[in-house]
Amino acid sequence: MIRRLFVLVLLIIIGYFLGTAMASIPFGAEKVDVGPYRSVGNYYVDNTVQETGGVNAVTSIVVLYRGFDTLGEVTVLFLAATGLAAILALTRERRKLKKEKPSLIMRVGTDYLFPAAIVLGSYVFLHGHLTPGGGFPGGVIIASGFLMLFLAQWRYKVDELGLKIIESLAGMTYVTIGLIGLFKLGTFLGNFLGKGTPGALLSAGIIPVIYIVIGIKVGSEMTGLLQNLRETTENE
Amino acid sequence: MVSPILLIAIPLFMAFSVPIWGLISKKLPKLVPFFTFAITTAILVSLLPTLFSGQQGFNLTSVTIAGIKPPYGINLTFGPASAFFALIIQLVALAASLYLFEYEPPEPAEKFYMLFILVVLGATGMVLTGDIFNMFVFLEITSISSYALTAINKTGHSAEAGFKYLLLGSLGSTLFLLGIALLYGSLRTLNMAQLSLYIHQGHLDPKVLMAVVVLFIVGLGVEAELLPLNGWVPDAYEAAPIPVVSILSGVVAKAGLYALARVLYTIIGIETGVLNLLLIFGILTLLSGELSALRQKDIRRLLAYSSIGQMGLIILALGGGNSPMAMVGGLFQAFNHAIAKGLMFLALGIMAAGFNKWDMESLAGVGKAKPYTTFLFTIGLLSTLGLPLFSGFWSKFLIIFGLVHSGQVVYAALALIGSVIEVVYFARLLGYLYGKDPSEELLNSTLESKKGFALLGMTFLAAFVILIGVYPDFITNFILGGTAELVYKSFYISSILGGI
Amino acid sequence: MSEAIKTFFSPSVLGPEIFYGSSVALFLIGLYMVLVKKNLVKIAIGLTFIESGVNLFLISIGYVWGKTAPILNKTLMMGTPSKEVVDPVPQALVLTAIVIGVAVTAMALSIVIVIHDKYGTLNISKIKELKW
Repeated sequence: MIRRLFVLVLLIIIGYFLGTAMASIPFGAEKVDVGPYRSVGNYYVDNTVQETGGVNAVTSIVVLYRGFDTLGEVTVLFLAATGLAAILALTRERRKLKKEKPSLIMRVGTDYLFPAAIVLGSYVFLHGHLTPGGGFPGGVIIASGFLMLFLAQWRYKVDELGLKIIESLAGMTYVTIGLIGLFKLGTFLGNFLGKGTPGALLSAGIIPVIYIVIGIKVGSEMTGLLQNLRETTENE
Repeated sequence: MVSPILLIAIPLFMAFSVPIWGLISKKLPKLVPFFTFAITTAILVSLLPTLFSGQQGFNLTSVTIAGIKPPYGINLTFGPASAFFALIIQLVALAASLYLFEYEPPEPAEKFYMLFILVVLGATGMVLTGDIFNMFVFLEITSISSYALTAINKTGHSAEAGFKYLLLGSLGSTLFLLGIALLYGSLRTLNMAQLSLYIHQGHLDPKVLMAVVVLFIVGLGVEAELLPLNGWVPDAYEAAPIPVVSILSGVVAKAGLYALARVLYTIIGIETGVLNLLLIFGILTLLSGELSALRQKDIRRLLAYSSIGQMGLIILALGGGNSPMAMVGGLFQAFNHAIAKGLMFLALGIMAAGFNKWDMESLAGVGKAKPYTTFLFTIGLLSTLGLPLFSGFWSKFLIIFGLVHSGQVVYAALALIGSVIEVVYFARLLGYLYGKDPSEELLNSTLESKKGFALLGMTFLAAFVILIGVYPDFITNFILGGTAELVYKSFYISSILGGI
Repeated sequence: MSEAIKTFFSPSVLGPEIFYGSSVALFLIGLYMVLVKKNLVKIAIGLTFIESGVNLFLISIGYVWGKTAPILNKTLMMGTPSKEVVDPVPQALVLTAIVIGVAVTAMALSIVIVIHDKYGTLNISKIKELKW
């Protein structure tokens, strides 16, 4: 009881402290340039078409202006998949679950939805430079297709070796694209492909290429994550 | 083309490629960490000459990514401070990866090696980056791989330690992110040089500034083992595999320390009174660590608390930044602590190899059973104590005199008391290691001769301890340049953004 | 319809309090769960609450009243696009932050699974080391 009271007092202090700090940043105001340099957001929006050829400013930022962060982000996801597999490997008791069959609706629905999920996911990451979305949502949509398969068919397993190789190759391709930029243009992740017509499918240089790689990588990693977290019915 | 970006790109490529090597031969993944770090160390060493030229005697290069100039793109900075910390990280990682040659990692081994490369990669990235959000991303890479490596033994104990670390660590990094959000909201930029410039010009509301300082200290203090946030340290050091522990103390803690110093010195600036906070946090961490170490029986826990104490000493020295001498001593101490603790943990791993008991009683007399390993351990220990002729002597000397010089006599006295406590428990430890007769079990455990590569790595670290102890000029250029880079904001800003 | 939505989200109806306030609220709820709850899964959920609070704050600092999404079309490209759209940077940052949050949650849950396998309980007061 005293502990809770103490925590509540602490929370009120922290809340007040954060609230006052936040209140000094006006919400919804125009993003004006603070000092001698342009605010990065305004700079990106005004220059994305000329510099990258992409019309979606968020994707241009994610893949080019702040592409290095995205490489880190992909690494974090890779880490999560690796760490999870490392921690849950071998020791985990595979408990027997009640062998209740998935319902008919689930099974039949999955048959139709799985291909649709794969197609939608691929669409989302292929059009990442034109529309909202991109490699991460696309990959997650693909993984959700596999999630449906896991739910609908108890015995379904994705080949782990295959997943591992896809993951590795996709990651290596991403770094290699960065290194090609380094050797051709002298700057890591440099955009060494043409910019094309803004708004066309084949435009924006390496953005779509990187998003395809990310989509495949995220899809395989999330699938691996789900598979590791799933409890199987059989003892292995 | 050799560029600092390769220090990040190559390990990343190698980490992704581990499963492919595993397909070719089961033995290859074991070698990947060593070759990766050998390549990156070679690249780093080949880049070092570029640091010391120009008018000031040292210079700072900014490396753009995707060809977009700062402040609009992410850039890496390669100056004396970054290079110095990168060097610490690479040296410890190289020695620890040699240890892996004869080490059976917890299954699945491939994942262990990947995580091992990634934790070093994350720390290197934190040290090199010039963008604050990018630093957050690398902080997360470092910490998530550390959580996984802490819990990888899959015993109940390691899982608990991992959870504790994860809880504190992710809370800390979320607070760090909140600090970044506040900065971005006010100043509309993420580049550290530009943030520094704007804060210096007074564009930041003082209320936000205060919140940001607190959030950054709490956020980075988890990795830097600051007092209220270091509850995970003893458990993690006890539960994680030994090569991982040497990485945690030599690499992760140093990256956290660098981030703290960079953020507080370069971005926030020392004129805002953050130094007093550092002094208080530092002395409390130092004394609590050393006092707790007195009661420990398990040598890993003892070293963990000693590590906390040492980190406290470094933070204390950074808090004495009004006098460059203390600051120089602090950076020097960071180097010594990383090398000596890395060495001690690796040696401890060999001392207990094939035996797996870690308390003083069981390891009593190991000096007679495994003389060479214990000798290396002792070198690390004496350097930590700060005996003359060992590298630790210079740094402790500089810190204490620096503190006195900047008028912080009370803190200097307390730091001396901390060192005396250190002598007490380390002397007792040495008494156990050399003074008693080894047990049967210890004599029958794995021979040191079977650990040639590990001993090679440790000898390499011990050589550094002695070399720098006798001839400190070897790295003084670095440390002086690093101190200047951290303290003189205008140099940092103009090197990255160009003259204003 | 869109007029109604615009009025609803205008400063007169929903002030900045709703966005900043709810992000602080999410943050505090999460912190409360982390500090008080005994169940490991609830602690992990608390962590995701904290992350959501920070992410909500991060996304709301990029908003500008009445502006559109930062995807350019022909009309936008004619003028100065930065005057017409919201700040895209927080959106890109939050994307990264969300993925990192997912990774941390996944790690937390996997460690919780191991703890449950070893001790058969999720209650931290029954597990010796986790008390501090």
